[in-house]
Amino acid sequence: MIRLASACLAVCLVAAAVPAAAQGPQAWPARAFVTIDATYQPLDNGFSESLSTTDALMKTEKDVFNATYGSTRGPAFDVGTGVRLAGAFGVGVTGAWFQRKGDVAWDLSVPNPLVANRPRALNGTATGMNRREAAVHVQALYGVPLGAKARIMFSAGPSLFSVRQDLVQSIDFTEVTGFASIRLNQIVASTVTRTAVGYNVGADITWSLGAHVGVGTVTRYSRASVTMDPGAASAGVPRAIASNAGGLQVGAGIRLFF
Amino acid sequence: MGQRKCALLVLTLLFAVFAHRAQAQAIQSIQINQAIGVQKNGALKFVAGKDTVVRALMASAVTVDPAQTSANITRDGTLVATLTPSLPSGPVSIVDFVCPNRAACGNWAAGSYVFDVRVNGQSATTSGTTYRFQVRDRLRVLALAVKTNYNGTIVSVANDSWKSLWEFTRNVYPVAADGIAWTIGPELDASAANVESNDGQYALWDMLAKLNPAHCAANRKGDGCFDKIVGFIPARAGGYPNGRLQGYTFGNPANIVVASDEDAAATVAHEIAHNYQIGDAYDGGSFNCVANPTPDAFSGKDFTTQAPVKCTAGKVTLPSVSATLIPAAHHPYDVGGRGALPDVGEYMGSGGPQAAFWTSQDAYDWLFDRLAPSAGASPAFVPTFVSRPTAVVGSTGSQRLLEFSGFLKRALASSADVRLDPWQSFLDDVDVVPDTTGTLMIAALNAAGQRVATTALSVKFDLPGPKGQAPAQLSEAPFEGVIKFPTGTTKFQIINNGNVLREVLVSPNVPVISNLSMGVGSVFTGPTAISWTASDADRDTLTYDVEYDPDVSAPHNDFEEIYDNILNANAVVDFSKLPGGNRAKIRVTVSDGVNTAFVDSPEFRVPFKAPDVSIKTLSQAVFRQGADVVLHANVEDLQDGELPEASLVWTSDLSGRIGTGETYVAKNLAGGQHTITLTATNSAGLATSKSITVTVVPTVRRLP
Repeated sequence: MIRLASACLAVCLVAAAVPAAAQGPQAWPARAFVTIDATYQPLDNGFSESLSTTDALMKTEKDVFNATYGSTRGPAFDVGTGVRLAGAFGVGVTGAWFQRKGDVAWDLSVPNPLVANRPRALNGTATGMNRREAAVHVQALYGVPLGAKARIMFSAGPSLFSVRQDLVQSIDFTEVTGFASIRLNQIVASTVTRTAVGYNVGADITWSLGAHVGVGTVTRYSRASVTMDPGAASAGVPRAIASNAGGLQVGAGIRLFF
Repeated sequence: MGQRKCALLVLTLLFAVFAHRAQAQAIQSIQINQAIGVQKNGALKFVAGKDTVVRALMASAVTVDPAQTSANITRDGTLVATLTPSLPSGPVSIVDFVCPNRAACGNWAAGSYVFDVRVNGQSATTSGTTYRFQVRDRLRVLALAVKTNYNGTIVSVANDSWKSLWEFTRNVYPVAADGIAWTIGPELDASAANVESNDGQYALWDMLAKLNPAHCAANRKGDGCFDKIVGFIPARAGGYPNGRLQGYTFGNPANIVVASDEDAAATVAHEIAHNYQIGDAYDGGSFNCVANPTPDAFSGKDFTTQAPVKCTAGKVTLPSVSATLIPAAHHPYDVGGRGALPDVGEYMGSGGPQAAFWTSQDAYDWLFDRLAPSAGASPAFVPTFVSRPTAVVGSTGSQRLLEFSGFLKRALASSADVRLDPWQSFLDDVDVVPDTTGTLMIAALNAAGQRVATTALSVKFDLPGPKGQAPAQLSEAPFEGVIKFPTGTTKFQIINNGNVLREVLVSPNVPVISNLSMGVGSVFTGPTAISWTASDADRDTLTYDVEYDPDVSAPHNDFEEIYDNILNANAVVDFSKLPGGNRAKIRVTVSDGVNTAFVDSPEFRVPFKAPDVSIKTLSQAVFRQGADVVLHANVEDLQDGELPEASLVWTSDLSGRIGTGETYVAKNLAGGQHTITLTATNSAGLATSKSITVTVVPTVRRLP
C-alpha cells in the first residue's frame, strides 16, 4: 500500500513539474491550496499525577499514589487547506492527528492496618498507555514569496484539541497474611477524552513544482492545557491530572494548488 | 504389552490419582466442641444451651471454598441452622463452623443432634451417633467488690474488670451460656476488718458468707441462695510486709479474690470447682486423684483425708506452669473467643497467666456428671438480690427457725474455744429442717431441760488452701446452720462428745424496734442517713441488719442486705448504687442474739438505673474481610439482672444493625473502619451504649 502511494506521489510530482516551470514568482500560486504533511512531534509532553488521600481504614494516615506518564514523541499526520482573501492574506484550517503508546511508572504506598507509620509499598510500570490527539487549527495566513518558486506562509490562530488518554485509574492489590505487605493484582486503566481550546503558530515553506503541485515543510507550535479525571475506586477522591496537548511539530508533504 | 493392558494401566493410574485427590480433600471426622473436643474416654457429653463449634477434621489441609462448604444442624429431626464456615486466611486442616449468635442455632436447645458437614463438596455426617445435648444445673454466684482495710489503709477496687471474671468459668464449665447466674452485688464496706490480721480475714470471710440467706444453711439450692459468694478485693498495697496476696477462704460459700490478679478469672473457676470436690492441680495442693489426677511429679495432700498423696495417672505438667497439661491434641477450644487453643494447663493449677488455663477432660467430665439437674425441680433462681428469709418474726410462716453461726477451735475443750456471732430467729414455711445429731451438735432445750431440737454441726478445719498455696489447716473454723426453734425453747447448747461447751440463753423478751426515719421526701437518689429506735427489756446487746427491697410488690424480689450485725441504731444507705424501684422499702431487723424483730420503712421510690455495659477488648482490632469477628460484652442491670438477647443490639456505623446478644459473631463485615456499638436497654427503657472500633481489611483492595 505504501509502495502504491509512493508511486502515485512520484507520478503527481513529475506531472506537475512541467507547467510550474513556466510561471513567475508569487506568494499564492493559486487562490486556494491544500497541504498534506507527515510530521514529527519531538518535544516532551509527559505528565504526572501525585495523589495523597486519607486511608479509609487507617484514618490518621495517607494513601499515596504517584504516576509518571512518559513522553509520547513520534510521527503525526495533518491535512490543511487555505484560501487567499486579499493580497498576501488568507485563512486556513488544518486538521492534525497524533497517536502513540507510552509507559506509566507508578508507585503506591498504603498504611499498615496493624502498625502505625509503617506503610507498605508497591510500584511498577504499565505499558501500552494509548494517547491520541486530534486538533483543528484555525489559521490566519500571510504569504511571502521566496524567489520564483517558493514562498513562506506564516500562520497563527486558535486550536481546538481533542485528547484521548489512557490513565491509571486504580491499583488492585491483595493483603498478604499478616498485613506486612501487599501484592499487586492488576492495574485498572480508564480512557479519558477531553477537549480544550488552545493556539497555534507556524510557518510553511512551499516549493512549487507546477501549477497545481508543490512540496513543502511545515513547522508548527500549538498548545492547550487539559485536565483529566480517570475516576477513582474510592468515593470522594478528586482526580485532576493536568496535561498539555500539542507541542512542536515539524514535517513535510505535498501541496496542491487550485 | 497389549493395547488393552496399556489402556487398563492408564485407567488405573487415573483412578489412583483421582482417589488420592479425593482422599486428600476428605472429611476424616466431625467434632462437636463446647470446650474440649476430645472428651474423657471418648464420651459425648454435651450441654444444652452452651455455645458450640462444629469442626470438620480434614485428611489434609484444604483451602476452603465457601460456596461448597456448609454445616447443617438438625435437632430431633428438624433442621435448625445451616452454618457458613469461618474463613481462614490460608489452607487449614480443620474447618470450623460457628453460629453468629445463639439464637441462630436454636439456642442449642436440649435434644438429639445430627450434624451434616460439607467441605469443598465433600460430605460427612454424624448420623448414627447420638449427640445428645443435656440440661445441666445453673450455678449461682454472688460477686461484689469489697472496700478493704490493709492495716488501716482503706482501699476500694479500682475498676469494674472483676464484673466479667465469670465468663471464663462459663466457658470452661459444662454449663449453658446462661448457666452461671453471676449476680453483682453492691460494694461491701469491710473497712472495719483489717485483712492483714487473721481476725480481719475471718471477719471479711464471715461478712461474705452471711450474704447467703440463713435458710441456705439448710438448703443450698433454696431460693435466693448462692453456690458461691466471691468478694473481690484490691491488691495489697506495695511495700506491705506480708507479700503477695491472691485470695483466701475459710470454706464455703465465700471466697476472697484479688481482683487485679493476673489469673483472677481462672481463680473463680478454680475455687467454685472445689465445691464439687475437684482438687488442686498445682504441686503441693489438695489433690483428688479420682476427679482430676495431677501430674505424677506432683506431691500434695488428699482432698478429703489430708494424707500425703501423689497421683499416678500418668499426667504431665504444662511447662513453666504448675498445672496439669492439657495437650492441644485434646482440642481445647474457646468457643466465641480465641478458638482453638495450644497446649494449656488445667485451671486447678496455679502460677501462670490467665491465657494458660483451660479445662481438662477430667474436670469437664467430673463437673458434667455433678451438674446433672437436681432431683425434682431445679429451684427457680431469684435474680438480683441477696435475700434474707422471706419470713422473719412478725410475718407469716409456719415454723420458727434459728440461724446460728460462729467459730470453733480445733482443740475444743471449753467455752473459750467457741466464738459466736449474733444469731437470728425467723419464721419459715418453705425449708424442711430435720433434727440431726452428731458428736458435735447444737441442741434446743426447753425449761425442763429436754432437747426439743438438734442439728449436727460440720466444721472443716482442713481446706484446700488459697490458690497456689498448701492446704489450709485452720486452728479456728467457722460453722453455721439452721435449727428448729420450738415454742418453749429456753436455751441452746453447743455440745461436743456429750460435753456442753457453751449455752445460749433465750431471753424472755423480744426486742422492740420502731421509728425508722429516712428524712424528708419519697424519692431517694444518693447517700441517705437512716435511724431507728430499739429497746430490749432484757437489756441484751442488740445488733441490727439493714436490708433493702426495690419493689415489695414483686413476687421474687427480696430484701438485699446492706449492713449485717451493726451495733449503732443508724446507718447511711447509698441509693445511687442500689436498684431502682417504685415501691421500695428499707427493713431493719434487730436481734438480741436469738430473738429478732423488724421494722419497715414506708414505701418510697428510687430512680431506675441504666444498664452497665462493657465491651470485651478484642484480641485483635484488625480483621481480614470474611473472618469472624467475635463481639462480646458484659451487661449487668441492677433491676433486671440479665437482659434478654433482643435487648442487646449491635450496630455498625458502616453496616447498620448487625446482630443481638451478649456474644455475637459478626460474619463477613464490610471492609472499612467500623465503629461498632452495643446498646443495652433494660425493662425500664433506660439504655446504655458502648462502642469499639474494628477495622475490616478487604482481601482485595483498590486504590486510589
